[in-house]
Amino acid sequence: MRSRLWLFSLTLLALGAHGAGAATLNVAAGGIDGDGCGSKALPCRSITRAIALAVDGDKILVGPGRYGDLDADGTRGETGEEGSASGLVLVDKRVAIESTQGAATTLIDAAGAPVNAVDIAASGATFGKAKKGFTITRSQGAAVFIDPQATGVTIAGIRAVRNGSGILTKAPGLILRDNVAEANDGNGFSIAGSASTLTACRATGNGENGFLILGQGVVVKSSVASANAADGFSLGGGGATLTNSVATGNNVGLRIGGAAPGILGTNSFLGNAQAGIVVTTPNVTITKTNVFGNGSTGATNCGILTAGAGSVNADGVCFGAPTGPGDDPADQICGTIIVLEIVDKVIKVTPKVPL
Amino acid sequence: MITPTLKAFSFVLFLAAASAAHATVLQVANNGLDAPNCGTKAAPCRSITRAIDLAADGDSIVVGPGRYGDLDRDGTLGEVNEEGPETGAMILVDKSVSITSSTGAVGTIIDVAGFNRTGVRITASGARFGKAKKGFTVFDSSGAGVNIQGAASNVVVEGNLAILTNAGFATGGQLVQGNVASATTEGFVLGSAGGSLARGNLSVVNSIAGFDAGGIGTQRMEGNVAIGNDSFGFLAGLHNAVELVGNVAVGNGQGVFAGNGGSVTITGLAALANVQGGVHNQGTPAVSVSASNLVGNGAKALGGSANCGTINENNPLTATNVFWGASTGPGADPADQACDVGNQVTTVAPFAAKPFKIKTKVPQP
Repeated sequence: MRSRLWLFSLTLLALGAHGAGAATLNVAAGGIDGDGCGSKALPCRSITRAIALAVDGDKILVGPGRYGDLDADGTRGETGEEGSASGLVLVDKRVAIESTQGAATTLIDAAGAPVNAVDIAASGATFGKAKKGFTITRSQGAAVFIDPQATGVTIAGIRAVRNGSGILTKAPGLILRDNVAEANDGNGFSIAGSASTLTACRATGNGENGFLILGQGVVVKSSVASANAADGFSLGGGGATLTNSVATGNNVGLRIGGAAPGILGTNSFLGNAQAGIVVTTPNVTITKTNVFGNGSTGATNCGILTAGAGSVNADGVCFGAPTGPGDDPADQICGTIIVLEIVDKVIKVTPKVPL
Repeated sequence: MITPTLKAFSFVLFLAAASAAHATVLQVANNGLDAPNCGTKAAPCRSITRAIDLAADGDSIVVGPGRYGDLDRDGTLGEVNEEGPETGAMILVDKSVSITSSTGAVGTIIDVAGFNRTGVRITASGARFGKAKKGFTVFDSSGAGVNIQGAASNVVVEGNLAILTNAGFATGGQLVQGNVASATTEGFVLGSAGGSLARGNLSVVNSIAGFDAGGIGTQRMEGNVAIGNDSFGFLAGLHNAVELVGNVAVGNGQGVFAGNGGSVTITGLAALANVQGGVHNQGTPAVSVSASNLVGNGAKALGGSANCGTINENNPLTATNVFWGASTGPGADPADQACDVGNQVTTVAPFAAKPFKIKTKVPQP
């Protein structure tokens, strides 16, 4: 019986290797890291082992359960455990890794290891999918790190909780959607590569910024930054687009520095402690945006605040009152701000992000 | 001349106006002001506390996106436009009102600003706090996020996120459903009076327990998921009776832990890959597990035994009709085993040869 299953697994692998059809490898909490594991009948125990057995183009399906440093003894890569030289789960092949039941029941646990929980080094790899992702926790590094050379990677369906940082990327052309970064020590999302797109992502209660965007031409849409200790969205890379997004309860809702951003429109910056929007870049245009309830900690009531060479054209901003910027219930403008058009009603901004 | 039809029409209008006067909707928004008669759409209140002051039993309060609480984070509540002050709590719900957000939990923050007080305390019967897709984020408290007092009946708490609080949601005999507790100390605490029901909640990576049921009476948990909680997924500490139906415990320190109490009845549990064991009876006279999957648990030894689907320190523990990870029943990997401490003997016959389908519906990205 066992030898027949073995043969079956080998056949699957051979098919994958010859490109006759991508193989699917299975991983389960009740699996064993045998040499030929990965069939439905004999799933692997670790994602690491499945990646070792996979070839480019394969799919890895991970059942509900916990993966990582299983006995939490600080030594990675023991039997059934995740572990590689550079971290916990190293994705060094162009594979698509999904859970079968989603982040709510599939855990990657770094158990306090001083490494990134998931390190993606292969271009074109996919990690997670909406409702088919992973909860990732207790890494001293990032929950998911994308190497500079790994372009065109997709990350989706991730809930990163209580790591050093959430999703940290250095590569260009990434797609991030339906991810949540909560209560990480550092940034929720840190995007250093260019031309990446973030959709329906949420950063809540992180110790630094919700979204730190340093790459050039990054697109953020339908996303929410809430209750982060520093900035909700920090745009520094130039050319960044931010639309249909909300920042609330952060220290600063949106910070714009460095090179000029792209389109900033149809957003809400509400109830951020220090200010709604802080700008140090000259000549920034903000359109169709709600800015109110901000600036409560400095007693300045600043909705939009400029510093240094920063200046803002507010072209269609709702400051919270039909009369435009001013005292409560409106927000003030503080600095070099030209109000081109006041919007007298609250603009509808309704990003659809996961709870 | 007034025709009978017009008369009837006027009467209907009168009735409509009268009923509207009895069930007002009060508005709260980040561009509101706590004026004496705030609460209309044109002039919303700034604080939920003021809206509750102005509300009557049966009213609804609709809260716009933004941040509410100790706005200047100075530890003093009840300043202009702030929530409170109430003793030990920030927002006191002492009327039978329904409080929901207009855009959902992720954009509506109740900020306790790190101080040691409860975010929202509910003392009134018939109150509702949050609703599916219309809830709140309660954030940053060394007290509880939402606390429901035992004397309050028919209370519903739904669709909320508690993050970085002490207990996320603490009940005293009420319904909490469809909430998420993340990075709190204990996600859900079902305490004091019995009769609490936690249904369809997600408790993720809390530092002690996902769900902690104690107190008198019967506490029931149904269709919840506890994942990655440091010590326990489901904890029955000092308790009377705890019922667990159709829950999932994944990757917690221990899946279900029964401390000192009357009984813990578990059906339809999926305990997967919990670090030190699936179900642990330390000191409860009656713990039963049935129609459940205990798989991949016990990677780290507890009391000298590893690979434990169950750990029995106190008879009787029955784990019948359980799938242990292999068609051959409890045993070595890939199966889990029943670990007996001292002279204890866990009843494992008959076992199930195939896994049970256990489906939960909790929020996930």
